[in-house]
Amino acid sequence: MLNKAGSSFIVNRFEEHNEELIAVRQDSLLKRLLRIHLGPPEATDDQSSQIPGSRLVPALFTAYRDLNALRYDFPVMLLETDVERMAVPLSHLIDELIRVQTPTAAEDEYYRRDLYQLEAAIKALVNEGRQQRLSTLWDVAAKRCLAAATDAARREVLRSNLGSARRALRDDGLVTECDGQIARRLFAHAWQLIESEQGQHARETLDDLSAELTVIIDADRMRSARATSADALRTAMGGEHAGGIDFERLSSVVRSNQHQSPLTTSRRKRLRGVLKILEAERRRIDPGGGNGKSSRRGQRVLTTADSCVEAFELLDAELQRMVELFRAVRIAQLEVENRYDEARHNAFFAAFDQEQLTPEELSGLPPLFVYLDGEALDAENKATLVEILSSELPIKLLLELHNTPDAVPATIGLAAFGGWGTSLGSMATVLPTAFVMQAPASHLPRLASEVMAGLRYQGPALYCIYTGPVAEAESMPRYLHCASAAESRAFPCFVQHPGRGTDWAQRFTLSDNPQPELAWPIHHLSYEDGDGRAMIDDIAFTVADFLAMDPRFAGQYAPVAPEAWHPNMVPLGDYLALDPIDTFNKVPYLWMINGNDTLQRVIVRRGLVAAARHCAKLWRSLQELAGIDNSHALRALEVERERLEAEKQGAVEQVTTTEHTDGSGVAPAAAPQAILGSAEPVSEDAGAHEVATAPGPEQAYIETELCTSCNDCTDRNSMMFGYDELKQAYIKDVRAGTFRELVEAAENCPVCIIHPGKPLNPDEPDLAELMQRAAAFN
Amino acid sequence: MFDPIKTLSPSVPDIDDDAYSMDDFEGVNARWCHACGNNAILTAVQKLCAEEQLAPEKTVFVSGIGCSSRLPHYMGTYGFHALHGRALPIAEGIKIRRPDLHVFVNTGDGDCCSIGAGHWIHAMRYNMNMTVLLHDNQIYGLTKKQISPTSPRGLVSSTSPRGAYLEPLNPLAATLGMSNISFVANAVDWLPSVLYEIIHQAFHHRGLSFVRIVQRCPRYLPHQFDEYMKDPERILLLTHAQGLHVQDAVARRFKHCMEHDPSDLDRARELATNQERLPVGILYRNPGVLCYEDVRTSVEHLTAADKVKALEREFDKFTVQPTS
Ligand SMILES: Cc1ncc(C[n+]2csc(CCOP(=O)(O)OP(=O)(O)O)c2C)c(N)n1
Ligand code: SF4
Ligand SMILES: [Mg+2]
Repeated sequence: MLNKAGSSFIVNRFEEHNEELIAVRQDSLLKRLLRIHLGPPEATDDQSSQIPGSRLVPALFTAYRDLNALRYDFPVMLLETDVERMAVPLSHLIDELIRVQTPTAAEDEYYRRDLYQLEAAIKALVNEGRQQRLSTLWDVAAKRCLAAATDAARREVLRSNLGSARRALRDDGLVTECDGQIARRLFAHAWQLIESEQGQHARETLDDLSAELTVIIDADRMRSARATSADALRTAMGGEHAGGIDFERLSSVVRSNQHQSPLTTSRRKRLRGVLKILEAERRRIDPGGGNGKSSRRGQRVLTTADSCVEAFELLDAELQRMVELFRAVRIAQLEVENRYDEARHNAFFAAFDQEQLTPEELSGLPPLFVYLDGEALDAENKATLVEILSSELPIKLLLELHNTPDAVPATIGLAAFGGWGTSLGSMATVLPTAFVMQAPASHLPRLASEVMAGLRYQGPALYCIYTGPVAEAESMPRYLHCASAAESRAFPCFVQHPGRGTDWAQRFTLSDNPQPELAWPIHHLSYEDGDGRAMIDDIAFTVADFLAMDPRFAGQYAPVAPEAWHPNMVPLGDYLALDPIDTFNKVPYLWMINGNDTLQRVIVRRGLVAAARHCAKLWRSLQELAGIDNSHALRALEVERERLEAEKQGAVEQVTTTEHTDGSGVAPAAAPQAILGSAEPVSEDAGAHEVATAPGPEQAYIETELCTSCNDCTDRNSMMFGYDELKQAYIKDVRAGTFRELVEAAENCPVCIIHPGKPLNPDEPDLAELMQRAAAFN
Repeated sequence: MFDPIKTLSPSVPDIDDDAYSMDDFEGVNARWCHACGNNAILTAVQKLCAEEQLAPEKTVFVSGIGCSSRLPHYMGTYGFHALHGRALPIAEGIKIRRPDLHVFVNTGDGDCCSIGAGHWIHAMRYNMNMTVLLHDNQIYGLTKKQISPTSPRGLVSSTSPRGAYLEPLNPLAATLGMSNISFVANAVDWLPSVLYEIIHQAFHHRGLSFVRIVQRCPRYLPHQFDEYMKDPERILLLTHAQGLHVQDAVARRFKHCMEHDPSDLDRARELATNQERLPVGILYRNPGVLCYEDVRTSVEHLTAADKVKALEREFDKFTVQPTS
């Protein structure tokens, strides 16, 4: 039902634009174009030579049509030896080899070219579908290059160049393309690396604790009657000394020399029990056992789950085991430090449960990695997923998003591009304990360190990875498809790491997106116009450019022949920046090229424009989180600016009024604060205070803070002189000794800080002489 | 600071655990002579241990031979009373294997500047994180008044009945001339608060901190330092924001109190050789010098079995095979 206010809104809407509206009504070409834009997806511009749905490509893609000729982040090598460089693009590796190998300047150019040739050959092998280690691929590719060389002399140079580069190659690992499995492969690889790192750390802690517990137990055993018996000593020393040593004597010497008492039975039992648990865990981490260097790389078994529900169940079982283990670890730590106090700790450890585990300890939980298919999650798993992300459990979720055709209805579903998964990433950013990373698969190599950061993080982690359609498409390589998802803001990259701080500025970053400060990235487009002149335009790459490659949305685009171009046609990027009210007479278009490399304007229909606006809104809210043109900050800035202006204005006004009043009207200045604080004059000599509190010449005292703890006075009479808690002397009891003792102590004090004062007992002999000697110290 | 290992739960401070007091750092009763300056040094390090709450089992005092070198016996921590002149290499061995321990070295003027002088130079260069206290009484006390390298010219002793012939060695100037040094200070035993503050700063310096302490031996050189003790004019107190801080009440006792920037090595050398006044304070400090243990310590954790194996390997080198 339309109420009055509503209808009046509609009526008034274009009032201000009346003239423009009339202009549109009189312009039949513009009307035709607007109809295409506003019409349903099927409507076509019948004057156009192009049929909608034919393969038009967004103009900005022209440079990327032949990916084989480009050097980018794929193929990538998964390095097994270096956690910090777990995924190295082949192109980087080749560049590195060129950089470190510096043959003479003349050979330099050949060397570079030869390595690029090899790189191309390796890429071709990977494209053929080979999943092999670099060393294998290298050798096959080198053979191919050599076979292709026609000139014998050149072949020799090539052989030597490739040979020396091969010798300089330090790294090896599986080389992989950006295919449908890349996310899983890369995460499994990262997880393995992290695990061996964490496993090793756990192993080292356990090694140390077991070693130290063993020392305590062994030392106890060495003190036992059995170990100190003559027989045991004889066996220990070996046969050679049998004649020369009296082992009975030795035994009694050893026994008489023992200062410490043996362990109590309860402690011995506790130590043994704990050691058993620690040893079992050591064997579990490293079934090889032994102390050799190679076996020290602890490696726990990778546990994966296919659903959030299963993950929870698995984790619960592990938790029980962890409680047992960490109870043992904590007891061991207390025992090693000799701090286990049965009165306090027995009760605590008897009630030890899951609640007691710290986040650090929880992070010692064995690997739990969950692979999830974004389009195949049921409601229960969706709910559990949110539960996991709100917890502090170290569960790592890899959510792969494909956006398969049947998951997104072709028309209305546009607004929800990427489906549930895209919004999930953004929604999860508000959960304070969740690590969230969103990125397309193409960006994984460059985000490798962030992948690691999430795995190392102690709480839950969610990785929303857009991997493109499940089936390989012929129209566009997966890498390009994924990369343009990020480029077009359809699937922005971001990382939220709760471990980096408590505010958004520390924990959230959008920096891996192109031109993150803009609504859409802007690129130069160079082309020749109809008269053969070179032109350059700046154009935005929008979500509509990205979706143009998806046949599902073909109906949303309508090419327009150059004869029908109209001045009111506006590039989509500019169109989206306008206030919607101002767009009623504009027709948004994209630049695309056809098979003949001819630029074409393609009208974008209303439905897709709405999708683009939705996408822009999501992006804008991410920008706010990342502090880009943050609205709160801008508002605060505005308020502050107004305040300053008002202040300035006030000051100006005051100056003007003061000029008009005479001095008599001005209030007297307030009295200085200090005078209110103290009624007494402040003494110049701060030392006066010390003198005042020192006892007078009548009384005996020591300047305690100057005492050097030399023991002289305290050894003379420990009743009279004592040490305070800082081991500095004071007069403990002046009546506990004679005046003579006081005077002698004063005379012998190396730093002369004992002041004997006056004698208390008038009957003490030789007082006159003693008082004379004391005078020197009073 | 709270140490999670000591607590019931690593994330909750253990409020029931008693703090260490000075008594916890008492070893056996000190048996130095009455009024010996070593007592002041002992008190200062015990106070440091208590204030810093150093776990006694994580703290080691290493010494050579001499009266001063008896100090580890009087501490309630671990100790190593080593061979004459060998305190520094022993301490280095401890530190390289157990960088988690707090290592202190107590050495005498004979121990360090005479028989141990070779070790002294290299220990300074290694710059391992430890606090070295040179108890300089300018005499061999333990061997009953034998002359030491720091004894003044003309000193009559049991080994120099006609008086010492040579000019003494200046341990401060010598150290300030060595390579790779990172902390050099001078203290006197009879100013307890200043002594404490210097040792405190030395402890917090990361690297080898060398503190020469002028120490009285009332038994054999009873009036040796009277000129400085009785006359504060002869002392030059060095203070600085980055160096020694003293309370105003203390500073007021000294007529000669100056700001000295401890990063200025040239000035430090000048002050160390000043004949007129004894500088007291931090002469030189450079926190940027690398510690040897940081580059050389192996991260390998050894289990008991590993240690036995390593020891066996070493012992095997010395096995004398019995001849039949
Ligand atoms: C290898 C060796 N040489 C000589 C001695 C004899 N000795 C014992 S203490 C000492 C000198 C100690 O002087 P100092 O280091 O200044 O210590 P102080 O007693 O003065 O504190 C000497 C030479 C010894 N114990 N070992
Ligand atoms: S001989 Fe000298 S240094 Fe040794 S304990 Fe006695 S006073 Fe101290
Ligand atoms: Mg000495």
